[in-house]
Amino acid sequence: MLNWLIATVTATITETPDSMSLRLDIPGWPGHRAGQHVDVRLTAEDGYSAERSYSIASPPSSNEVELTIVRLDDGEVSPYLADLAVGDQFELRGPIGGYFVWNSGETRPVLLLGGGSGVVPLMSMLRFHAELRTTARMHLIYSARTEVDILYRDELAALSGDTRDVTVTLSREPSSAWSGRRGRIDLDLLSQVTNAASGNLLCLVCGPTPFVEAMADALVALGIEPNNVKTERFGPTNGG
Amino acid sequence: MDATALDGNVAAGILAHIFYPEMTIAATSCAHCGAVRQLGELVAYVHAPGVILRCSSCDAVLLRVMQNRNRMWLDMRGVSLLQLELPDDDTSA
Repeated sequence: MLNWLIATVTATITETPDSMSLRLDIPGWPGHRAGQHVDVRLTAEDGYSAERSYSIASPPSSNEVELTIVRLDDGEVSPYLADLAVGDQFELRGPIGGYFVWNSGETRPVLLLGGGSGVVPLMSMLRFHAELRTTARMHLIYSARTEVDILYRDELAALSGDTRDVTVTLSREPSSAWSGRRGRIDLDLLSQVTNAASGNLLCLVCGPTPFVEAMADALVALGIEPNNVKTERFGPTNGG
Repeated sequence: MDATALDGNVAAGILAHIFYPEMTIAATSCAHCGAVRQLGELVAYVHAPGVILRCSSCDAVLLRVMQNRNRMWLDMRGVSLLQLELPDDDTSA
């Protein structure tokens, strides 16, 4: 039985114009694994309550838990969370999930594919990987809409290198100033990673359902065993 | 698959009210087609009150769970067998 815990905001970090991270102090928090999520519950004075799931962005080694919130203007929960300040409190339960996780003992090379805010649980894995100094390669391919939508931009650049690769591709960037990759994640980009790993690759895919479906199909088409492709889907009904 | 569908990971929180082991890695056998899938892989619909989990092979309903204040409902007739993973240090059995 997972009990509801009280989280207190200890810091807020602006990530993009419509998203922010909340650093939380949670008495009784049992620790988490990279990739797990929490359920947040908000309760109105009349007893009406709304619950939403949010992925944990911080690595398991951290004492504090960090969530990244994308504000959905018609959502029931995210606008409230995005307006919280240091010292504010709310209820959550967790950590939840043992399926979509990356373990420190994992020795296979890893391909992380993130669409939009699907990068959040993958960030926990990438941060954990960097702390462990593991020799297993980890490659994050992250698809964002435009340059201003890129979450953790400076940190992603800092984490790249050593045994980690980070590729950011923008699907709808109008400006010509972006010198990085453009367009959706395609077979050509994926095959560069899958070929280098000779197929012995663990793949973790997180994003909106159409993104996850397209990526999982592409990976299987490239010869990755379906058992080695783990997915987590989210959508507006789950966001909000 | 319906573009609004999620996956079984979204049901883990509400199922933790009922089950003690971590449920996204529980193996479910579909009573309709026999497919064995980890619960986290099942197709989830969250538009209805509560959560509905469907088979990722044949689309049959495996599980329905719903909570309203201090009452819960669980319908698992679509699961013919459930295999749970206990923590390594579990000695209750």
